[in-house]
Amino acid sequence: MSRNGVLSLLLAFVPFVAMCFSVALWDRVYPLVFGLPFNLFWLVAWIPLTSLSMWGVYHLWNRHEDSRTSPAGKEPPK
Amino acid sequence: MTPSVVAMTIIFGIILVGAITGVYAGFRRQMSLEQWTVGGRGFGLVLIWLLMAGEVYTTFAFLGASGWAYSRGGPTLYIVAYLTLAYVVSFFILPRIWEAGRKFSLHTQADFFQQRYGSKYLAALVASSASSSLFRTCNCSLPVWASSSRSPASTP
Repeated sequence: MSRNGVLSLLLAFVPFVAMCFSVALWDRVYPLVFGLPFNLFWLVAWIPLTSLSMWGVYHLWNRHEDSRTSPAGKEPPK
Repeated sequence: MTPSVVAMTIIFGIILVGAITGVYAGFRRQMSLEQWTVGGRGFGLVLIWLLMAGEVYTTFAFLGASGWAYSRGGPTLYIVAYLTLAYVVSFFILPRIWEAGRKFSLHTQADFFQQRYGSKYLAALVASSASSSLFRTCNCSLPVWASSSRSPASTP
């Protein structure tokens, strides 16, 4: 897999780390943020942050797919 | 007009409009199984986007999840996480399934498993587990909702 492919998989894994594998770090009620308990605020904040990281994943993955369909060593068709 | 009459009028109005639209669409163009199951593979970007957003709002989202949050509290927050993460996984696997579906003109999940693994029995298993999960959704989320709506009376 190309470097872009690996990077995009790693970037897609970031929301998993933030929401699944680090629960003990943010699972608390205080401090309240906008009146929300901190754990609810954290999860809701990661909805837009996941979109943001998927935006990066989308671009990296497209570059990975492009490099797979036209390998660097081969001349692109003219 | 009582509220129940208003509600019933709205519900049957929507059903009537939907039925007329459906029958009209059926008369206007040649219908096939492919048209019925996957819309002739011709849905645009906006329609697919809206449909995928709509997929989230199931009976579970409206009744089961809210009832469960009411009776169990904090642990229901996992719903926020799994729905978000499901789309991360979907990003990688759905385009592949879409390509396979178009290439082999598959209509259902069971078709995909039959094509991929060449087994009629596996396809039948997938089809029956998919349809039984529909019943399971009704059986699981509705009692949760019913029990949570009863609990205010039972607790002081």
